[in-house]
Amino acid sequence: MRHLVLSMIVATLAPGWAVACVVPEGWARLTPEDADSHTAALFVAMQPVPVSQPFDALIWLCADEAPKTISVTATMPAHQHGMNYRPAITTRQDGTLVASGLVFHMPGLWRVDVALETDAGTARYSSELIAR
Amino acid sequence: MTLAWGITVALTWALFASVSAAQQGNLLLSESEIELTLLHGPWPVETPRDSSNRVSGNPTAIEFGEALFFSPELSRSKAVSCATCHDPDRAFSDGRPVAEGARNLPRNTLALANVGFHRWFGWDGSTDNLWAQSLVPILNSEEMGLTFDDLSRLATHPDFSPAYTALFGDAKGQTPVDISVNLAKALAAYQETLTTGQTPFDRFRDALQAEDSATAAAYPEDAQRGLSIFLGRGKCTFCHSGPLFTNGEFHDAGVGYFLNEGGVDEGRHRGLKSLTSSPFTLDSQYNDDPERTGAWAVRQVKPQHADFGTFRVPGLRDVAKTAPYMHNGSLAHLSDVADHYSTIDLERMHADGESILETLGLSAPEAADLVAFLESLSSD
Repeated sequence: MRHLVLSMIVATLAPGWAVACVVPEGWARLTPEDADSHTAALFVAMQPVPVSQPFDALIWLCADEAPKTISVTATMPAHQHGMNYRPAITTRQDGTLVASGLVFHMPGLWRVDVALETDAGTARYSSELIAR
Repeated sequence: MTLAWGITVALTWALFASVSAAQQGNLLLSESEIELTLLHGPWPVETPRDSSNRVSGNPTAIEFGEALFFSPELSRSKAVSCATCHDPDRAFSDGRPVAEGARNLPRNTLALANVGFHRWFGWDGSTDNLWAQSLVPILNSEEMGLTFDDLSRLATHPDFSPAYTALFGDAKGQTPVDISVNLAKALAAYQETLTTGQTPFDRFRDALQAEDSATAAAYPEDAQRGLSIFLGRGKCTFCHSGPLFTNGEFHDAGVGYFLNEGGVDEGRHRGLKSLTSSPFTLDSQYNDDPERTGAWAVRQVKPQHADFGTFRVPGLRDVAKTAPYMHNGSLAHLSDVADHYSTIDLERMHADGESILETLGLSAPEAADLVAFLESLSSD
């Protein structure tokens, strides 16, 4: 991952010197922010997301270390249910994560949750999307 | 004279305007309701070609599939065809609470309207494509009762051999399973053509899209009030979404799943078990698409405890023609459906399920309005 490699080199040469992670233009920053270790952002090509149609979410990650595991889930807070499908997570050549096969099967507000497990612990992020 | 004339004209105009308004009706929906209404169209649209079926959309296959659909040769008794339960005169359902083929089955016969648009098939989604679903009743000993060997002999039947050979080549050298899947693909090609047409609701929706208030106002006011309930307080549109009025997924609608003979109908829970053990999914060698487009669903579907006793949401187009209703045919009329959701016992719902439905408590006029809206989804 280009961003990860940059971060790790800087950390080795200049301990304590934080790398500025710039969220790609047009991407939504995932919350909560954690400036000490990770910056993550989400991109979905079509918003609002079409109901009951599979779509991909891109996740850009700027971190001090590569996560050991990544999970992407989504829930509909108002109805207390999640998705009926597990997204498949792959990594593009530029290091961007691709979560494929997300399906929001009802119209309304959904919350996407991203969990990154590292040696330091698990960092959790979320973003809200509308399905119509 | 001039004043009298003016008053006469004014009164005449007022009378004309009031009569016209009564005949045309009024547009009752709010701006937000209009926005939601637009999401239930446009309709009709062309059925997508099924890339897993190499004869999808093929006119010869459609004609061959139609001949198979109506042939009793597809049953051990030689008395039952697909059309026995999927009767064209009953919108391709059978009007019974539960299906009767060779024996009684505990589920209502699903209508085939717009079946080519589905992702999952059957009440429990045990198949992920239409050709695999077409095999299910044919090979079920309690329905049409054939084996692969029995079914494959149709490829050399004098009525079917020419079409089979033209589409799939010489049956000699093909295995009984291969031949059976090919026959099912022809059946699927025909069933993809079973689509519903434009409805009074669609004309209303199109008029709203075109901002033609005059035409929109011609849609009956009781149907408009029913639509308002459907979109808002009824929360119907969460599951009955989009142009097909279904999200294609599985839900607990508060309808019991205990069987008269004892036991339970596990619904989606059982369907997923059948799906994952099926050799005929979109992730199998029988998918004609080398990319296996569509296989993502069977690969990524997530079995959940809450699947137990849930059933696929049927589409609502032509719903007035396909009584009785629900997976067990327990509701005889649309008015019974309105009454069901009006008085639903939330204590019977899954404890770990979704929290959407509420006891609507519809008044009699409100229930009648909801039914009027559902009836407006019938094609001309």
